[in-house]
Amino acid sequence: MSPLLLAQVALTLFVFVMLLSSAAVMVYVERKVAALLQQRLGPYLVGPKGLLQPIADVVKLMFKEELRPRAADALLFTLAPIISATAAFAAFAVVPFGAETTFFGLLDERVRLQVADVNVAVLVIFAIASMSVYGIVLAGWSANSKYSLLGGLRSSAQMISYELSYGLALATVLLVGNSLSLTDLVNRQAGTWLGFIPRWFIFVQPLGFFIYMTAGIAETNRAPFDFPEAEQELVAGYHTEYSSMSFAMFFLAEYINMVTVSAVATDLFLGGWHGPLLPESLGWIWFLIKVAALLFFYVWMRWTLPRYRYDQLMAFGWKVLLPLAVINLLVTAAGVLYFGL
Amino acid sequence: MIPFYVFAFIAVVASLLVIAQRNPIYSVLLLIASFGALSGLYVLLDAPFVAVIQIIVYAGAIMVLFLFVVMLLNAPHEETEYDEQTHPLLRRGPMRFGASLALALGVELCWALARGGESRAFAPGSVDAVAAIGRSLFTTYAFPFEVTSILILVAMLGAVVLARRGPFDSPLILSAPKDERLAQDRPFDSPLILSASKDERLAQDRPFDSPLILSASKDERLAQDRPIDRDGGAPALPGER
Amino acid sequence: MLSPYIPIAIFVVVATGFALFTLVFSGLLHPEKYNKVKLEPYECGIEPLTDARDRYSIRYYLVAMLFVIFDVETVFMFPWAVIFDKLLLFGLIEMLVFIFILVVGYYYAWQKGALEWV
Repeated sequence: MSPLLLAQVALTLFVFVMLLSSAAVMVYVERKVAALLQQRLGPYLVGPKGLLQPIADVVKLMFKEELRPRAADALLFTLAPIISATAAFAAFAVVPFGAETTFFGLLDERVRLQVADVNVAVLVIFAIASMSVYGIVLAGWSANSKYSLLGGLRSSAQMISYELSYGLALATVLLVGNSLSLTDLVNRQAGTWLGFIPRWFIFVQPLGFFIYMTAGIAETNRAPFDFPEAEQELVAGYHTEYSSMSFAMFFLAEYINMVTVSAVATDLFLGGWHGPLLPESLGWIWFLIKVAALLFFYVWMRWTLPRYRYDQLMAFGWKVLLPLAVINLLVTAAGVLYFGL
Repeated sequence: MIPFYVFAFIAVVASLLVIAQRNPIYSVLLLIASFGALSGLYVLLDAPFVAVIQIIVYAGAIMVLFLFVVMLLNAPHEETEYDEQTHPLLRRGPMRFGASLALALGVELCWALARGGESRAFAPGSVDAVAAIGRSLFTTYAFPFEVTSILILVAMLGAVVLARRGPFDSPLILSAPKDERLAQDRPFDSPLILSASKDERLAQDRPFDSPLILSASKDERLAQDRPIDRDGGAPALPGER
Repeated sequence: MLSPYIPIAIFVVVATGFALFTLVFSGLLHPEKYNKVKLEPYECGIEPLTDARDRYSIRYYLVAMLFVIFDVETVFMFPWAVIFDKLLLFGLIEMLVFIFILVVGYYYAWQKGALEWV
C-alpha cells in the first residue's frame, strides 16, 4: 500500500469515527443547552458534569428489547433505519474540512482533508439529501401503525418540499463561485475585502444563507419544523414503532444530518477553513469553530421557537421560500452581470 | 472492467426483480437500486454529472412520486386466486405483452447496432465537465431548452388537473373529512339541501323560486324541472344517501 | 490515479456495515420476551381495528408531482449557474424566459389551490 492510499483509508475511517462522536457530543450539547435555556441542570450524574451521558444512553439502548409490530413488513422495517443512517453518513463524504496538507511532512504529496474530492460535490450532496427521504417513508409505511404512516408521509412531503429551495440556494452559490467543487468554492472565499471583511459568500448572499439554513433545518426535520416529532398529534411520527438500536439509528442520522448541513453551510457561506490568525495548515480549527457555532444555532432554534402548524409549514415552503429562492437566484445573476463579481 | 460487471449485474437483476415482485413497494425499491447501479455505470463512463442527475431526478424525485402513488393506492397484495397461485412472471397475458415488447426492443437494438456508423463518440472532455454540458445546453441547444419549460408547464397543469375531483370550478375537495367529501361529490354545494329535512327539500323542488335552482348544475335543474309527481314523491337527487 | 468516487463507495459500505453490525450486535444483547399485546402497533392503548395502510389524502401525491416538476427545473439551474460567467446577458434572458413560463404554471397551481394544505 502506498502511503497516499494508506492516508486516504486512515482519513476515511477518521471521518467516520469523528461523525459518530460528533453525534454523541451533539446529544450531550443538545441536552445541556436545553437545560441552560430552561434554567435547569441537564445531565450531571453520569461522569464529570454528565459528560458520559451519551455513552450511558447508547448502552441503555443496546440492552433495550427490540419491538417490531406483528403486522409490520419485516424486511423494510429493518432496512429503513439502515438507509437513514447510511444516507446521513454518505453525504459527509464529499465535504472538505481543511486545506491541503502533508500531515506535517509525513507524506510526499499533499492530501486534501476530505474523504472524496469529486468535481460535482455540490450535486452529490443534493443527490444524497434526496435519497434520505426513503428511510423515513419506508419506516412510516412498513410499521403498519397509523402514527408511523402519517408521520412518515408528513415528513417526507416536508422534506421534498424544502429540497427545492435547498437546491436553488446551492445553485445560487454556484453562480457566485462558478464551480461545483466544494474545495474550489471554499478557496474562492480566501482573503478579505477592504482588508478586514472576509470574502465569505454570506456577505454576498445573505438571503441565500437564510434560505439554505431554513431549508436545511426543514430537511433535517428539526424544530421549528420537527413535524415527525409533533408528539401532540403524531406521538413520535415515523419512528413511533422503533425501539432499541434501530431507533438509535434514526437518532444518529438526525444528528449527523445536522452536522452535514452545518459543514456544508460553513464551506459554502462561511469561508470553510479560512480565517484570521491561524495558518492555513490549522484551518480545520476554524472549520470546527464555525460548524460548532452553526450547530449551537440549531439547538438554540429548537428550544426557542415553537413548532409551526403543518399547513403553515407547507405554505411557507411552497409560497414563500420557493419563490424567494428563485428570485434570489435571478437577482444574484443580474448582480453578477452588473458588478461582474 | 470488474466494476462495470458489478453495476451491470445489479442493474439487470434488480430490473428483473422489479417485475417479479408481488408487492409494488418492493418493486419501487428495486427500481431505485437499478437506477443507482445505472448511475454507477455513468460514473464509470466519466459522466459524473449525468450520474448525479440520474440519482436526483430518477431515484430521488420520480421514485418518491411512485412510492406515494403505490402507497396511495394501498394495493400491497394481489388477492385473486389466480394471482395467488401464479407467479407474476408466469402469467400468460403479461408474458405475451412482455415478449412482444422485448421483441420490439431487440429488433430496435439490432437495427441501431447495424447502423453503427452513425453513432458518434463524445469528444474527450465534452461530457465529464459540467461546464461543457452547460455550454452546449445553453448555447447550441438554447431553443430545445426553452421548449423544455413548456413541457414542464404542461406537466404542471396536468398534475393540478389530475389531482382534482369533480367539476373544475369546485374548490379543491381533498382534505375534508369523509362525510364532507361525500357531500361535496355532488356537483353543487348548497349546504341547505344537505342539512334540510326531506320536507324542506320537497319544498325547494318547486321551480324558480329558490336560489338553489340557479346554483345547481344542469342535471339537478333537469331533475327539478320535471313536474312534481305528487303520488310518487319527488325524484331522488343524484347522490342522495 | 485513484478514482475520487471509490472513497465514496467505501464510505457507504462502511456506514452500512456499521449500521448492520450495531443492529445485529444489539440483537445479541437485549432480551426478547414477546407477547401478543406487545407486538401490536401503538394506538394509545386501544386495540387497532383496521389496517394502518389506509388510503390517505391525495395532496401528498400532488406535492410529490409538483416536486418532480420543480426538481427538474432546479437541475437545469446547476449547469446554468456554473457557466453563467460565460453566458452573461444571453444566459440571464434565457433563464428569465424559462422561469417566466414556469411561473405561469406556478400561478395556475396556486390559483387552483394546489398549494393549499387546508
